[in-house]
Amino acid sequence: MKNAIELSHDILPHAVPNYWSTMQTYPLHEEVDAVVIGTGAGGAPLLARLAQAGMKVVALEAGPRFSPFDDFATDEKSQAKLFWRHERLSAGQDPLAFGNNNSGTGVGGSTLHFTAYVPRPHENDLKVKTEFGRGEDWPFSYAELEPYLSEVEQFIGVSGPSSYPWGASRSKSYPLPPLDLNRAAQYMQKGCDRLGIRTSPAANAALSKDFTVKGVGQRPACNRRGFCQAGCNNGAKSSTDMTYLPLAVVHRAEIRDHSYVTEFELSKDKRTMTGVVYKRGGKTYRQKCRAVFLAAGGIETPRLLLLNSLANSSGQLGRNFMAHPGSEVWGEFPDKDEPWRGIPGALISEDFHRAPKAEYETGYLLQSIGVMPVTYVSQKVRGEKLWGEKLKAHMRQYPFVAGINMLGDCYPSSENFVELSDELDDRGLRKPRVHFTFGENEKRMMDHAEKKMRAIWEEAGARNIWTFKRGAHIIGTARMGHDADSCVVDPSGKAFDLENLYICDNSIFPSALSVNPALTIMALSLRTADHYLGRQS
Amino acid sequence: MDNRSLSKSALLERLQFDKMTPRTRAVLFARIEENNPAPQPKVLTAQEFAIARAVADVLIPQNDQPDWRVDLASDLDLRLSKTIGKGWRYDVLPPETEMYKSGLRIVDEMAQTKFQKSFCDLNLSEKTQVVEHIEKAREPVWVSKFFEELLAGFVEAYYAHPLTQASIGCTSMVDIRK
Repeated sequence: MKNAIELSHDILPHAVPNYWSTMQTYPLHEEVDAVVIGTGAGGAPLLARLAQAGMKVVALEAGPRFSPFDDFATDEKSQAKLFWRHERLSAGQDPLAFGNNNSGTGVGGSTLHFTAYVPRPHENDLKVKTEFGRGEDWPFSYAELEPYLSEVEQFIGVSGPSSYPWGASRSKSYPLPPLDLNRAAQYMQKGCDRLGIRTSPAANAALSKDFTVKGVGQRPACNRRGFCQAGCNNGAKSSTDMTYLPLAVVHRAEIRDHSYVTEFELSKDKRTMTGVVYKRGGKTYRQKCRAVFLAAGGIETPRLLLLNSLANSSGQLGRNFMAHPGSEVWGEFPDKDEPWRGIPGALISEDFHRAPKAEYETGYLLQSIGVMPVTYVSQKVRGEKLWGEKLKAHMRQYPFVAGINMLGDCYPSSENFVELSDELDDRGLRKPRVHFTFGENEKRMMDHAEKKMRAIWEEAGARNIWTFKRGAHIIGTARMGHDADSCVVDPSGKAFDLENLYICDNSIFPSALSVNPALTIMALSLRTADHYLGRQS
Repeated sequence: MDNRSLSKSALLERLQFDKMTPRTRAVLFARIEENNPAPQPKVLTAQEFAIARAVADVLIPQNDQPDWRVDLASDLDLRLSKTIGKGWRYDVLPPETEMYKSGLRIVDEMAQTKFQKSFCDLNLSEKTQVVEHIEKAREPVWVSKFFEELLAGFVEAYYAHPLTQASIGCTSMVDIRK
């Protein structure tokens, strides 16, 4: 346990070549094959796939492009530039925090600040209605998704265990061995071992060894800087700016940054999109195109369509909003464990996915967590309203804390939805209002998980244990399914109401899944591209 | 080890600027210098600014810091002067600037009601009582969320400061190691 973290690598400038200097550009008046809105986990894989198929594709990204080594400080405050900060209104009994919790901005989208968790979904995550009579099934099986999950893991560089105690069998092993267990992971392993809870090193989209991204270039291994959630500065985290976006550009895709989409041009019968209207530097531009792929995330996707009164003949756009129950348990340990070091989520347990005799339906996973100082203290004071000398005494213990968190499935509810408010944002557009209240099943799951996590931390030797309840991820607001009356997009991701609009992000998830969503979003993105290419050929 | 009384020069040494990437070094250096001297408020009135500063001193006492302090009221005013905030707000709260101005006025009214003095003129024990009262207040309905925002905003600014981080033994910013 003593040698948990030793920083052995210099920080290297990212080795993925500077692909921007040779990027193809397309004139606005020329009709391109497709415009992709958003460059995160939903937009980037299909952008690359379409470009590789020889299509002329343009991606529009609302945020700037960054050069991580030059632009990313190891500092949370200045890295707030990675977060989507156009104001959202949080309503309901369990109002969700946005900003640093959820959507991102910049070339790479939220993958720039995601924690790098990439567990696979379970087969039965896609069949909750069949199993429990509630929620929704996915319109295809896990077997159809598996090759795409595998392709993503192999391409982006996922570090993970060679054998895994839970879930379906894999067609291929992870391309890289797991990352080292940081202190939080070692504590969780100790506590779980004593309680008979199985654990495994977790799958992470960060490199345990130097790695070549096929067709792109070499990236260095993780240097255990621990600021994944504030942007990786050496290219070791497999965000889309290190993986699918350079691949797309190599295949002649164009990525326009600072480009914020506001409207669409439509054919006379309003069944076909003929162009995308966006703002860049105070000017309005129009890009002609044959198809549109909308990948702006679970709030901006329905918001943009609602603002334009499109794709909503079902009345379901913005409905069925889901967030993962994501309670965290924290505690102080005797040794200075430097919670800011190492991959944050190094250890996982999925023993509470469909646990026998559980008092909740569906399931949840447990992950160890490292944490950056401002994130930690902000949660502490929001959760417990700690101030004065008590606050300062608590924070003197920060170098000694370690955490563990749950992530559980969530049922959709009629109470939970995204709507347009009457308040205007800094761009003069109606702000989204997000209603969220945990249901009874989610509450039972959170209670169960909190007891387990506290028990694990007690066994591991933690003192001053406390819980922070939160919801994570924004899911389900443009549901995918077979039925045009209850869903927004069909099983290929195409909007029922339009001939050439595809949605590809967490908004089309019919159910929330009991795992972090990024890997599944990327897999869906490749699948949607293949469906589109199949239709074209 | 008790770090509470470390001087600025001792903390600067602990920060090891020579072991930071150029970007990290530049950002943290700028932060240490930014409120020195404190700028005039742009959004808050002089009175609101004074109340904000006095409340910040109760929520996060800095009297144990021999020769440095983080100017939390200036940080608040700077945040309010920007068009982009933290990205979300509780639906029950009024827009951010309005909330802070109304909230700080409520703090002062509470001081007047309890002690017939302005908040800034109270002694520490009286100020603490007023803050405790605001924390527990239920009228107007948004006041508890105002308290959460005020506290979280000050705390985030305080603990984002490199001297504060060094003072609690956090060396996350030392991002080049051999």
